[in-house]
Amino acid sequence: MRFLQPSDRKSTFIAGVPSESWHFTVATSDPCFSGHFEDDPVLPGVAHIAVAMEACTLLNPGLPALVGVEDLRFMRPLLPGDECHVAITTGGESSSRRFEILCQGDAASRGVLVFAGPWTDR
Amino acid sequence: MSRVPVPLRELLPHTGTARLLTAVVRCDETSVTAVGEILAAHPLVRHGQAPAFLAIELGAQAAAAMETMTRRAEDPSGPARGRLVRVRAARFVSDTLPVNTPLDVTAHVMAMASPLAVYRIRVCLDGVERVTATLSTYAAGPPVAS
Repeated sequence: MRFLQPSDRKSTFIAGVPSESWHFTVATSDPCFSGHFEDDPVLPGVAHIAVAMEACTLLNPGLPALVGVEDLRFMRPLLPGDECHVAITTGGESSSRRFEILCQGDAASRGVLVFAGPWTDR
Repeated sequence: MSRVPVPLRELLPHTGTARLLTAVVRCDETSVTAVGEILAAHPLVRHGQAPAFLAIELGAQAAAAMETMTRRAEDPSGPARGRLVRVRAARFVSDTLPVNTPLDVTAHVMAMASPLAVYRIRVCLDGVERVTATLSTYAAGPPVAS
């Protein structure tokens, strides 16, 4: 795992819907900052997807292939040293999962990951 | 195909492995055709394969290069940063893309109300479509980069 630690998993409810979340710190040394950008490092938007995919992989290492991303919005950039949470909305057998990344209480991004088939948490 | 004779460093603020675009082939005010490549050393590459969602970054960089090129006549100051603000829908034929392999990238403007723009992007490998997506960008200064 690059961004998340399995032991940081917490089960929560978001708007009454069960979800699993992980706290993570955006490492100042993360190689995703290299060249993005030299004078003002910002985590690339695709790294938000990578964080959410790590969370889904922790929920089920046998995850079906990711076949799409829907309605993904970036509200706040992630910067070196940011303290964040990623939450995956679970519940029911489904081929998609909602995710949200929060940073110091603010939503940084949220969207839907679409997989090739249904899967359940382990 | 001829290449647009402008160095990529003048079109994109990305450097090193973060710069996925390798050449701009053709560009006008409504679309750009480019070539990109994900290096094996890219930090999101795993087990020698790139996640297909990295194609979203490829499309965003193509859009950024296009915005820089179309405004060069008015503002020759070079690339500046913008933001990828939304991915309305992206579809991946498979969940990985090969590394160190040329990928064809196109971005077409679907709507623009500066500083916001919506692009339809397409990434192909050997002429076969691998990723499509609709992206929204916000140009904070001159052009757009994710």
